[in-house]
Amino acid sequence: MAKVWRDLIILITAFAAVWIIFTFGINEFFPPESREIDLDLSSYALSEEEELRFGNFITEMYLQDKSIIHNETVDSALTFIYNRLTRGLSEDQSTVKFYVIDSEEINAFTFPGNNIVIHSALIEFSNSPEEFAAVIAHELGHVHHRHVLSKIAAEFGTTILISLITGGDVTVMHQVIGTLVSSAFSRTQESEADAFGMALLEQVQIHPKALGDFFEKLNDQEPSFDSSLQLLMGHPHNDERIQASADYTLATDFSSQPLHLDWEHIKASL
Amino acid sequence: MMNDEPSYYPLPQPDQIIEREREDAMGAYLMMFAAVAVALPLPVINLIAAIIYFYVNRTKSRFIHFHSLQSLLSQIPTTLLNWGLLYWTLRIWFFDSLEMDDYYLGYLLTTVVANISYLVFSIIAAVQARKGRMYYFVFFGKLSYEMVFSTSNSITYAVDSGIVHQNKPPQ
Repeated sequence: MAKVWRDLIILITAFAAVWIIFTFGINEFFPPESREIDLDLSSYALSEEEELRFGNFITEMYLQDKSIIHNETVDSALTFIYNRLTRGLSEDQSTVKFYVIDSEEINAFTFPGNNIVIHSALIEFSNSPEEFAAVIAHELGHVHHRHVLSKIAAEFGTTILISLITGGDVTVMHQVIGTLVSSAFSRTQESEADAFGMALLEQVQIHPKALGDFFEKLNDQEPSFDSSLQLLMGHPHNDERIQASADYTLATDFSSQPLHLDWEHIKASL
Repeated sequence: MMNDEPSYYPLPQPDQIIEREREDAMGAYLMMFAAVAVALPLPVINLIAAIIYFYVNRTKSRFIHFHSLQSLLSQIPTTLLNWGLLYWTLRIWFFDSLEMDDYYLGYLLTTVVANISYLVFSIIAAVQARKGRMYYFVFFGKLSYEMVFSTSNSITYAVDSGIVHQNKPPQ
């Protein structure tokens, strides 16, 4: 009978070993690059205007039944923060448009065509303009890396994406919007956006740990199963991302320069 | 198994095993393939099928009892793995509460390997059973042997008591 249990141990060990080998060896067998959708739109002769037109169209569709907040205090604060952030962007970066909508969910979305939709709850949740700027910088990372188009291509296929950009079906557009607001970016994409955001923050003299602070606060706020938070957080790797922000090495001559905004006043104006 | 040296019933040799027994023993493995094919989206039907097959056939003969028990036991872990995979996959794709990470992909590949090995070993066992031979899986083979051939197993098998030949010509 002892042999039976010895066999059982062998079997369980073998299972564990195979799982471990596959888990930690997976990057050897299947390099992460091969798992990401390689989006090369250059071969499709799409103009930037077409892409922008598609992006604007889809953003307007999404915003149709949302209440957009037109508020001078918030608008000027956003412009102020964005101007600060663009100091760190290269000249040829296309202009990004922001929309603040009235929503209880702490969230922000990047839409195609350099559009960023911010929920009012996100502003209310941020403790400081720096934290809010960090989230914006993160979203700018998604814009910079064209993650939204990759995400659409990954969900719907490149062919559908191209047909959408060159004049697509409204029904499919609705599905695309559903995907954009309900599914998360991949882990790699989130860390790319984080890295971009933190580098940008450093360049414009905002401490990059603001991003980690924000994530940590989100973590504390709702420990689990709040899908709205998970979207922004990109699923359960928050701790890694907070760590990445904490580990960020600043240039030796870095000095932070606060954003001079009356944040409480801005929040109150919502 | 009270003694230090447990005693066992003698193993039936191929020439003592009738055709019918061999086919039923082989069936224990082969029926699983059909069940697996049906149960792919919901890995529980194969287990139910195996349990039914086991209870229907186990009293026919010691040889059949051994093979159907081994077949039943050996698919429990595979079924559990498949359940785990189904649960994990649903969490990722439908409930969006987990991410497809390296642990998941590792588990996915492990499950694929487990299923393939289960199928391969089942085919070998089915062939051996058809030839009237014993075939022992790691762990499950030994466990089944202990359970079926140990003298503490007191089942009276149909093949030994002659119940198999109940049908008689008209009188």
